[in-house]
Amino acid sequence: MKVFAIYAIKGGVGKTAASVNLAWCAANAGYRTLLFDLDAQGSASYYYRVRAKKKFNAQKLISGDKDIYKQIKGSDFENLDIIPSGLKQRNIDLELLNVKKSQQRLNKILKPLRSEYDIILLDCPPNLTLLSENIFDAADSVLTPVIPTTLSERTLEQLITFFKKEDIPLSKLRPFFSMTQRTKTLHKDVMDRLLESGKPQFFTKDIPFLSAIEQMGETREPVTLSSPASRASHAYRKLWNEIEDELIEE
Amino acid sequence: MNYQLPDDETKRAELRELLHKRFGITEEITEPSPFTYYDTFDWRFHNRGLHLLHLGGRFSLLNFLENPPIEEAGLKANYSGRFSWDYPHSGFRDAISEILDPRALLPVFEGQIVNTTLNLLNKDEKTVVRITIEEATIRRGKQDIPLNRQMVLHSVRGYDKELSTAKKVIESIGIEHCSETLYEESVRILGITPGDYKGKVQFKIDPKAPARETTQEMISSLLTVARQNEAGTIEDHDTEYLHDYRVSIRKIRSILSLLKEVFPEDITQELKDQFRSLGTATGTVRDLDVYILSKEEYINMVPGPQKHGIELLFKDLEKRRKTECHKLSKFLQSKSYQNLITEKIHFFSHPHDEIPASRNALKPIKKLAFRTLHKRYDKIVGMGKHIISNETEDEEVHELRIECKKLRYLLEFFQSLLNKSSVAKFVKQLKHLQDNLGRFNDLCVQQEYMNNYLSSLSQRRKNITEIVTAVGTLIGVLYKEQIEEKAKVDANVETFISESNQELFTTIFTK
Repeated sequence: MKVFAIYAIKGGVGKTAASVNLAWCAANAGYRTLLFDLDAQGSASYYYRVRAKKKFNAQKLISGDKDIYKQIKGSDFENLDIIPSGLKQRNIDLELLNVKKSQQRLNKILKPLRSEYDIILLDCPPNLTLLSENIFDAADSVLTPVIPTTLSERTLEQLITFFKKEDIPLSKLRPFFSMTQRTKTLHKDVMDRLLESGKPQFFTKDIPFLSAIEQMGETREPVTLSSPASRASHAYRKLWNEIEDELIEE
Repeated sequence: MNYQLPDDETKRAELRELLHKRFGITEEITEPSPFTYYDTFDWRFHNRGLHLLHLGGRFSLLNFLENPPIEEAGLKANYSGRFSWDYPHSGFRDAISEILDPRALLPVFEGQIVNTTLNLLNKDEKTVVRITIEEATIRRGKQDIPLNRQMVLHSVRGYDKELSTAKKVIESIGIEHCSETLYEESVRILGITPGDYKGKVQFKIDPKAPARETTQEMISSLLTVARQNEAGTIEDHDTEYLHDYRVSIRKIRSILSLLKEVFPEDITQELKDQFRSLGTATGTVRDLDVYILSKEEYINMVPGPQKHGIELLFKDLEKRRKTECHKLSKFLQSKSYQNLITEKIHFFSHPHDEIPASRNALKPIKKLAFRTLHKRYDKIVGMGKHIISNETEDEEVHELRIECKKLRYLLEFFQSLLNKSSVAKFVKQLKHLQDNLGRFNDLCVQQEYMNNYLSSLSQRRKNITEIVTAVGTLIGVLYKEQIEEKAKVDANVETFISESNQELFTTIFTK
C-alpha cells in the first residue's frame, strides 16, 4: 500500500481539486483507493457528496482502535472509498497533543487499512501543525501543488527548511505545478528554474489554470468524470500516469 | 439479499413509487449479454462449491456457497478453449488447471441476461444503495425460457441505514426473498442434476445378502458408469471418459475373477472373455492417451538438441491416436457392441434362477468377501517374502503389482463392510507400494512401446536419424529410471509385509 499526502502550506493552490481528481484516476486505474479528507473544510467530501458522521469523536479516532472503519463511506465509483471530513474533524490537531509519540499517530491509525487498500490519498489541511508532521511521517510521498510564482517559491523553501529541520528525507517531497498559465512569462521562468534545480524533484506534468476545475463545485464531480475529454481531465490523467510510473510501479 | 421481483407490472410500479418517496433514483440498463456456465462431465467445479461462468466474453469463478455467489478475486479470463492448457499462464489458468486437468470444460447451460441497475440517491444525490434487476433467459433446444426476475441489493459502504430502509420498503409490499439462484433455477427447469455422475461407485452392501445377488448389483452399477461414458468417448471431449469406461470394465473383470464360483464356471469364463474383449478393444487409445498426456515430461527427459526428435515422435503418436479414436468410436457405435452391452445389462439386472447355484452363489457376501480378502493378502505376503530373500526377476515385480491391484479393488468394493479408519491406514501403505510397482511397470511397458515404435519406422522416413537418436536416448533414460525404481521395491515390500502391517490388516475386519 502507498500513502500519498496532497499537501500545501498555503490554501487556494488547487490542492483539493488535485486530491479529488487523482483519487478518481487511481480508482479508475484499478487500485483500491481511499481518499482520507483531513481538511476540516470538507471540500473533497463535498465533491464526492459524502458527509461526515454527525457523531464524530476525534479522541476515539486518534486512540487508533478500529474506529476508523466506521468512518469509511463508499463513493459512487468502483474501487473508491472516502473518509469524509467536516467541522468536527478540526479537533484532530488538539487531540494529537494528548497522545504519546504524537508525530507517528496517523501512521498507526492507517495501519489496519493496509490490507484493504492499494493507495491512500490524504487531502491535508494547509498550515504547518502537529497534524502536518503526522502526515509527513505517514506518507510515502508528499505531493505538493505549487503555483509558479515567486511567493510560492518562498513557501516551498519554508517547507524544505522544515523537512531538513525535522530530518524528513527530502526525497519524500514531490511538488507539481498547479494553476499554471504558460502565457505568463513569470510562470514559465519560475517553472524552468525549479524544474532544472531538481531539489526537490518536480513532476514534469502540470495542472493548468482552467475554469473547468473551478466549476467542480457546481457539478460535484471530478472533472476526470464529468468532462473526460477536457484539457483539465487530460492534465490530471497525465500527472497521475507520472505518479504511477515513478512512485507505484517500482 | 436476493429478492424475487414479481411479474406483476402494478406491483413493480408500486415498489418504484415507494422507493421514490425515500430516495432519488437513477437507472442504468446493460446490453443483453450471452452467458454460459461450464463444468466438467464429473462436476469438478460444482463439487468444490464453484461455478465457472462465462459472461459478456469473460470467465469468472464464483463461489456459490455464498448467496448471492461471490466472485473469486482476480480470476478472470477470455474463452480460449476446452482445456486448461489452452489458456495463457495466469492466476486463472493455475486455478482452473488444479481442478480441471485433464478434463475438458463443457457447457452446462447457456442463456442471455439483461441487468437494470437502480441507484438509490440521498439528498446530496449520492448513491447509497444499488439495486440490480436481473432478467435472464436460458436456452432449451431452440427455445428461450425466461427465468424469474431477480432483484439483488448491493450495499454501499457506510450507508447501512439506507440499506435497511430500502429492504423495509421492499418487504413492506410482500416481495419475497429468492429461494433459488439463477443456476439453481436453470438446472431445475432443464432437468439437470449437478453432481449426478460419480466415476467412483461406492457400493452399499448388505453383508447377509447372497453373493450372486450382490455381485450382480455391483456389476450393474459398474455397467451404468461404463455406459455413461460411451457418448463422451465417441465424441472424444477428453481422455477421461475412456479412462473411466475402462476402469469400470476392469473392475467388472476383477469381480468376476476374484469372487469365485458365484456363477458356474462356464458362465464365468464366458463373461470374463466378453469383458476382456472390451478391455482389449479400448486399450490402444488409452495407451496413446497416457503418452500424450505426459508429452512435456518426455520432452524434458532428453537433452536440448534431441527434443525435436521427441516432438516428431509425438506427432506420430497423435496421428496414430486420431486413427485409433476413429476405430474406437465406430466400435462403440457398432451393432455387435451395442447388442453385447445391452445383453450384459439385462443379464446382471435380473435374477437367474435358471442358472444352477454354484458353490458360492448363495453364500453371504460378507463371508465370501472376507475369505477372498484374506486369501489375496496371504498371497501377497508369500510373494513378498520370496522377493525380499531372492534376486528379484522383473516378472515377479509385475505379478506382485497385479496382486496388489486385486487387493486394492477388493478393499474398495467392500469398504462398507470394513473398519473405516483401519482400511484408510492400510490403503495408504498399499498405495505407497503400488505407486512404486506401478512406476516400475510403466517404465518397462514404455521402453517396449518405444522399441516397437522404432522397429515400425520405415527406413525411408523423413528425419529418421533424428527420431531414432532421440527415442534411443529416451529409452536409455527410461531404463535408468526403471533400475532406480526397482531398487526401491525390496524396501517397500519389506515395510508392507511387516508384522505391524499384518496386524493392521487384521484390524480392518473388526467393525
